[in-house]
Order: sequence, then C-alpha cells, then structure tokens
Amino acid sequence: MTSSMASSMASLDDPSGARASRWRDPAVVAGAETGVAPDCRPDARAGDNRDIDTNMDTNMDTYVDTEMDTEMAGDNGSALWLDADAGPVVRPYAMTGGRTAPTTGDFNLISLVTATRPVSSADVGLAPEHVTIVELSRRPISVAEISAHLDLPVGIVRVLLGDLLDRALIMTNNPEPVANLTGDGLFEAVINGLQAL
Amino acid sequence: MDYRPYDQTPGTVPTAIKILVAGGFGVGKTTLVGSVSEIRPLRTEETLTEASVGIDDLGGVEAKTTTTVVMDFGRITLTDTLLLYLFGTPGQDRFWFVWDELSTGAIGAIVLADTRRLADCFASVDYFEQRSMPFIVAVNCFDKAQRYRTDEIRAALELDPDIPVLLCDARHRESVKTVLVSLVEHAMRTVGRRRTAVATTRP
Repeated sequence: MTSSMASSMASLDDPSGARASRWRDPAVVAGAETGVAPDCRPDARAGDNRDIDTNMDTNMDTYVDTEMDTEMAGDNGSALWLDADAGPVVRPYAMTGGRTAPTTGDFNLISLVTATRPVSSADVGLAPEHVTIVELSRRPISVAEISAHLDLPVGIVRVLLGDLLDRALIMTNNPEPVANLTGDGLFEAVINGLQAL
Repeated sequence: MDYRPYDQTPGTVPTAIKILVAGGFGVGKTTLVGSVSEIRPLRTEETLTEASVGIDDLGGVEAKTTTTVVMDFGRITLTDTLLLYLFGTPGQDRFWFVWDELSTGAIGAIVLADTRRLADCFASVDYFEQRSMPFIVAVNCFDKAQRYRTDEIRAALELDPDIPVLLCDARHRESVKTVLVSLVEHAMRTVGRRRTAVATTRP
C-alpha cells in the first residue's frame, strides 16, 4: 500500500505540472471565491489531463479493483499510468498527499460540521475539495453527508476536515454518548418528531 | 459569491442522533431507510485493507487488496435542533469495526429480518445483545414469504421477552414510522430501567 501510494505521489509531479497545480495553486481557491462553482470533480480543471481525469471521475466505483483501473488506463492509451508498479491509477489517498489520518479532530460519521467563514484568497494551499466542504457546511452537515456529496470515502474526508479544523475554517460538534442526552426529554422529542412526519 | 452569514454560535448547532438498521444482505435495509428519509439514501464508504487479509475468502480475485464497506444512510429533521440519521449497517459480519463506530451516538438498532433467511440476522442480534444496545426485531414481510407469528420468531431467535418483535413492510412509510417509534419507546424503557438499577445499587 505504502509503496503504491508513493508511486502515485511521484506520478503527481509529472512534467506538465497540471496535476500539482490542482492541489496547490491559490488561484484555484481564488477562482472558487469569485463565483466559479467549486467542483470536487477534477475534470472541472486541467483539461490537458483529460485521460487521467476520466479515470478519477469513475474512480470511486472502480479504484478497489486493480484490474479494472489498469484496463481503463489502457483504453485511454495513457502510457504514463501503465507502469505496473504504479498500481491503481489514482488512489483517493493521493488527494490527501498520502495521509490516511487527520492531523486533528475526531470526526464521527454524524459529527456535524459547520463552516466558520468563507474561504478567502489568503487561504493558500487548499484543494478544491476543501473549498467544497466549506461550501457544503455553511449549514451544519454530517461527516457522512459530506462524504456522500463529495463521493469520497469517509477516511479521505476526515483528513480534509482535519486540515480545515487546523485553519479554523470549520467547527465540529461530535455526538454525545446517548447516556448524556437522555435527561432532556430526548426520547420524547424523537417520538413526537417521528409521529409528526 | 453572495455568502449567507456564517453562524458561529455553538448553541445553534443541532443535536444529531443515530438509529442503526441491521440485518442480512438484501433484507431491505436501504428500502427501509428510503421510506422515511427526507433525502434519498446516500452512500458513504470506508476503505478496508489489511484488516481483511487472511479473513476474506478472495479465491479468484487475489489481485483485490482493498475492499470498501458501503453504508447507506438517510436523514430525518425532527426539529430545528434535532437530526435523526438512519444508518444501514454493512451486511457482512467481518465489518464489526465499522459497527463499533456506528454505535457511538446511536440510541438503538432495528434488526431487520427475513423469515426465509432468519439465520442472517443472528449476528446482528448477538452484537447488540453483547453491547447492551437497545434493539428491536422487525420482520420485513416479503410478499412470497410464509407468515409467522411474532412469538414464533421470538422463539427462533431466542430473544429476551422484553425485546419487541414486530412485522413490517419496509416499503411503507407508516409501517417504518411504527417500527422507529417502537424502537425509541423500547430504548426509553431500557435506559429508564438502567437508571433505576444504578440508583438502587448506590448507597
């Protein structure tokens, strides 16, 4: 796993630089700020990397299947990605720079994430996915919903959320142990709410 | 872009709670979630790698080193300050580690059963019994399945007498609402009993 991730990361530094700029270029963030809809899909940018992007797009359905990824790369004639050592075309972990755990925060599936402010042009180094999360969390939204909207595994979303928490762009409310909640008529409220549906 | 003011008052963030929907593969968990959710069931996934080595039978698919655990979930906004999430738990027994996380903040679980494959829900029943998580058994009445009485199902599952067993149709909203209310009432009784027990054992 580690070696294949390293290979993927090495491939990110391809000579065109288009891939690298997708992650680092503050202009991307600034673009989102000025009204360009932030898009978690890579095909919104870096058109010269379309073959790779196509794979990324369907990536969430297929990345678990090494054979399928290789086959798709072949269809697109992208010799760059056919290196057997590279493994699947783009692991989701490439999006997190190979990180598998958040630097900070404890993100339960139903932890509610709320943005504290919009992303500004001063927020250098954010990926489009970060910007999308901030947009999504203008109203409190659960980690599970963010994962579903971004079509990314929860593990990846946790890493991205950790980055945002580091920058104080979001705050989170973790679920209380149920024993702590029951005193406030919680069950009654749930029953009433359900019956009113 | 025109930004809505960002609300930074912590007090306005709703409380989120969970109800788990467990049961065997294809028993109707996602259907049940979809019947009451205000959003179409969403899908989230966890990635499983080393955990499956030596456990999964991957005969014929040796190249596959990563598996995803998919969870379907829905949301019900009960009040401005109370959100209920329904999580369909992964059907495979080996994904207990996901269940452990799912259990945090869960007020209880619905074990969905199919009388044609009752054994499929044994693992779920065992899990919630061991964790002392309040649960009920809801039998999804498939059209062609032979009807059993709830006491027959209770006996077959060796359930404690206080655990509700009811028949339902996972496709019908009202039926699912009844199941959810039964679970919450059962959870309320269970917590109440535990409180009493704790109070009486204290000097």
